[in-house]
Amino acid sequence: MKNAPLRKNICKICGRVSTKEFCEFHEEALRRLKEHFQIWKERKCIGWEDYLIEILKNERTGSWIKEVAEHLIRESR
Amino acid sequence: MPYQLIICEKPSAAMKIAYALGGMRVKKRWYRGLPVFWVDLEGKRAAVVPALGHLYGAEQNSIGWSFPIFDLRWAPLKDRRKRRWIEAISEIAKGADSYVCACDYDIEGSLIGYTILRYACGGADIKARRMKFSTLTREELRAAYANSKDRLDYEMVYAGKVRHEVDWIFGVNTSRALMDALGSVGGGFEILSAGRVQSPTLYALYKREVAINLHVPDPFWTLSSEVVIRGIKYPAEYKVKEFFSKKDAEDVAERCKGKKGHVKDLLVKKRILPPPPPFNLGDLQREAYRVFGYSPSKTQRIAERLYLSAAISYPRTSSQKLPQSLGLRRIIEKLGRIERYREVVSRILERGMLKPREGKLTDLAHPAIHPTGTLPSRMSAEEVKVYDLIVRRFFATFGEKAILEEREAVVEVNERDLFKVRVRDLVESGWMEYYSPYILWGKAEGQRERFEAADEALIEKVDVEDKFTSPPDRYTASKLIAYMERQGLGTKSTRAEIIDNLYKRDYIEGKEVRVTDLGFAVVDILKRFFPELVSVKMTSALEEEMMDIERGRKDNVEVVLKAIDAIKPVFERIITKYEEIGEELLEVMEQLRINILGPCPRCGSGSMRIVKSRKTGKRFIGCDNYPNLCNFSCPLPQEGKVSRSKVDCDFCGFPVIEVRNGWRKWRFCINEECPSKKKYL
Ligand SMILES: [Zn+2]
Repeated sequence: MKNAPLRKNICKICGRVSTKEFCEFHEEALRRLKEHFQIWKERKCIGWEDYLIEILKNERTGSWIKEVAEHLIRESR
Repeated sequence: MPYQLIICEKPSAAMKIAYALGGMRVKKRWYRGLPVFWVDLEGKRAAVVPALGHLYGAEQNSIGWSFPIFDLRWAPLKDRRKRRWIEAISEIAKGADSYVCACDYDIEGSLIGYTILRYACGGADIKARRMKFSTLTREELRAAYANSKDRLDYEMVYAGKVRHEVDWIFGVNTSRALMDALGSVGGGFEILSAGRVQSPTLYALYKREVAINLHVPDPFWTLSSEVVIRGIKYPAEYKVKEFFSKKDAEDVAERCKGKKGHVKDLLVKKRILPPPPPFNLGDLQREAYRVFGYSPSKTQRIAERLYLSAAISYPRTSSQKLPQSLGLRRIIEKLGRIERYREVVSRILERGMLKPREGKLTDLAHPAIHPTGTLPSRMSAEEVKVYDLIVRRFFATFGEKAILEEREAVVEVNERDLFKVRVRDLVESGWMEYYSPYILWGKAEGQRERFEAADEALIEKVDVEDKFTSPPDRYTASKLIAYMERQGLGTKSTRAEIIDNLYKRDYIEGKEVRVTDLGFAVVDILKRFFPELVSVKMTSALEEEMMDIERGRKDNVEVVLKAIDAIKPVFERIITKYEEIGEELLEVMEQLRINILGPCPRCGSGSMRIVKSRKTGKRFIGCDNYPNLCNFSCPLPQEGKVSRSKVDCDFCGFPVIEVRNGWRKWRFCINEECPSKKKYL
């Protein structure tokens, strides 16, 4: 027998197959969102929640980043 | 009485060639749907016969479905009109005693002529002569006929053959692997297309799309400043371009605004701008995109029409050379008969020496794209534009260098804050005058009041501006062609077509290219299971070898065998992974199908799709007939996997949608006016 796939999780945002909470793209988006928060914190003295709102409003923000930010905002409510 | 058979690439070229060789005594006769141009060549009759592009292609040699498969043969393409033409050409060939290939002088043309001579004319390729020409002008065609070579250009034929064979092997095996994999898990019969050049190209777009989707903008600040010197206001640049703290930027602004200083340093630089080289296809495509916004494939089509009407030379060239043997003076003189070029022409001829600037790139078969001096009687508005661009570019190569003067002043205030002021003046316009409608920064800016060292300077404006880092730019078709050129993907003749195919297959969309969900899914699968197929490395190495065949340095059979050796293990490895790939494919197919939820319940003719609002980014269900015929829409929860349930609504009969989010699952009717509304079924 071959190894049965241990996963069959589904990305909470897009429904793609994933091994974690999110698919690889949204997982990477989450990582970058966290990473860039350090820069924003330093330059704008901003908190996590406000950061997410700013990111969501910004027209340069990538769509996967926006989707993750939106998801996090919704979850925190 | 036996006659000569002259094979051309397409009907319009056949007509040109027939009239060029036969003068006015050309007799056009139809033979079983095939136009044949009968001409008299010094007492000998000849039949000038067109093909319809390729009439033959690679196909499987054995019978049945097997994988991997490397056994191919050349056979008539499965197209009824083309098959009829093959039959007609074979009939005519029976009465011929000599043969000439007059297809376009390039890889594809050589292959088209070769396959017809070999397979439709009973192996006549070995006794055929080859005409070599770069323009369809009468003089050149007559010379090409008189000086035709006594053998086909087999180097080009073989290079083309290898390209088709290798592409066939890659394409057929990849699709078969995908379909077999899907079949192994009980999936349906879906065709996913992949190609040797197409896939790495799509992959480049995919990577760009990923980078854009994952972009997090970072805040920074800049200063926007203006300095007044001798009463004239100039935009200026502070020595620090980006600030990472708003306060630092504000501090500078505050202490500099309204301050007086002086020009501390003055740097005067002369920049020499040599004339541009003449166009090759890639350069023409890029310039036509910049100037007219034409897609590369559109430009290529227009250029090919201009070539067929003998107005310009053969456009599918990579050369940036204009050899004197083209009769440059004669071409320029002929162009001088056209009113709008008369003045430029007389200025070029006045200079006496006609030495064009050339670029480094060469082409084995053709010179750079240039006008022939023959003006077609009728041109469409688009043809006029591209023609003018080509003519003026041709003129520009004979121009003198342009000289630009850049003056850069460093203004100091507060004994430490430095601002740079830059002014550019075109001192000599040189070649730019010949090319003036298409010059980037307009005509000479005229003599400005010039500033000098030690002049007094006033910092009139210093504003702090909020900025954010930008995502990378999307590719446009013309930037994509440049990328493919750099990576050695495809050839000058195939690039635009490959990009067109990506659009046709719905893998990409938009002028600023966006990869669709389908395109994403295809790359995801290929990248995981056929990494070699999306890699630039394998494809560009092969292109290099095909060039070597064309130069007569490599054997074609050897190159095909080597390609098979390289790709075989990829396919063999795949067989052991069928189930895994199949599962994944099923999932992807399902996902893609999900986006289409069936026929629209309101208009009946459109289909309901999950769409994202451009404005809010929120998803909803909409009819694809929107906004013309139908405005059906239905809001959707923003998260979870959406599908159409098998049942329809008990109350109103509209479709019912199912949403799954993790372990939660619910259904609702998509009719907003349904009596069941707000009450999940
Ligand atoms: Zn996801």
